[in-house]
Amino acid sequence: MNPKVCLPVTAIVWLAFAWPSAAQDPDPEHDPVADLGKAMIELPLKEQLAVERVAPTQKINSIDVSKMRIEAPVENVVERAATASETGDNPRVEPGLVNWHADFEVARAASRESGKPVFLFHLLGRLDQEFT
Amino acid sequence: MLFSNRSVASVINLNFEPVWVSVRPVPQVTIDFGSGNVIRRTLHGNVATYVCDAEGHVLDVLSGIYEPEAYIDRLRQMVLLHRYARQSVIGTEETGDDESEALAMTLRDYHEQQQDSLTTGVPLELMERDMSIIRTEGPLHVMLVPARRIAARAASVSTIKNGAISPEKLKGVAKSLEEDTRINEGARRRAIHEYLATAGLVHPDEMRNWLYREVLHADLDDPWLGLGRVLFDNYPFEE
Repeated sequence: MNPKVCLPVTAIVWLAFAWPSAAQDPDPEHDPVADLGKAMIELPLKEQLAVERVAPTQKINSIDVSKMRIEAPVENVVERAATASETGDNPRVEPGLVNWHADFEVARAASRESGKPVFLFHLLGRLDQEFT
Repeated sequence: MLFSNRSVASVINLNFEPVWVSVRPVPQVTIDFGSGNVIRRTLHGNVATYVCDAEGHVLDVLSGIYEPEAYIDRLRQMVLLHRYARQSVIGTEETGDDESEALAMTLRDYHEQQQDSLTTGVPLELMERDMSIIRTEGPLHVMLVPARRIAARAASVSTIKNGAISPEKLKGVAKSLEEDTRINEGARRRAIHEYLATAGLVHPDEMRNWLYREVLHADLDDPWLGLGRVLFDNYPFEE
């Protein structure tokens, strides 16, 4: 017999006899019928569990919303305080009771008008900041 | 703060055209002692008060922080110095003299005499004198004369009033200001007079770095303000 024809025929014959015995294997681990049954029982349970799992989450979300209503203003206050502390690294203050000109040139122009001398105060930092 | 003092602010507002200029950010020192105990301070005291004419020429400079009364006293002298300097240029148009040269000479003489007076310990001050008998251009003439009082406003008791500061702290602040004033009116003033007597007419920006480096010992050209050696030389972990 031609070996090219013989091998496929042997495989078909083997499948025809061996497959039904494999399908009737009582081991549930390898029983597709038993697996299906398990799925039929478990799927609704899984769905139920999934619903229950979502529901509490939704409840938590709804709690979060109300929680946020309470906490958001507090957080805003804290955030503002933090921002103030950053810019307030050196908080702004009034530079005393002196009527300061904006810059040296403006003061010189005023001096030409008034005949008063220019008072120029040099400093490290800024006079309108607390730490100077 | 000095400029929150009503007397100081009033003298400045009435007699000057005031302006403040920051020369660089102020160094800040924060020490964290733990448990939330943090102190924060700045290296204060590095200030300078220039009095200039309308052209921006420096007439005189007060370096550092002063006790209020002494500061007012010095500022009144500065007002008179401004008038004294202006007197020197009156009439230069008629005579054809150079106005800037006349001003420079007057200021040089003034600073030389002040420098000498600080060296010899015989203080001089500017005073208004009624010269109407011998002069016609102005009834009150500003003159540099021997001071009637020892230049010891600096040693006067501070009159700072601030309810927010405890008497003990106030006493400490006043003592510190008194000490600062004494230093400012001594070696620092002498150095400034010496500089202005030789530099001719200068603008604040031309003498700023010299003043901070040589008089206030805070070198503006150095990112560590000239404190690098003190900060790092004895620190063993510095790489």
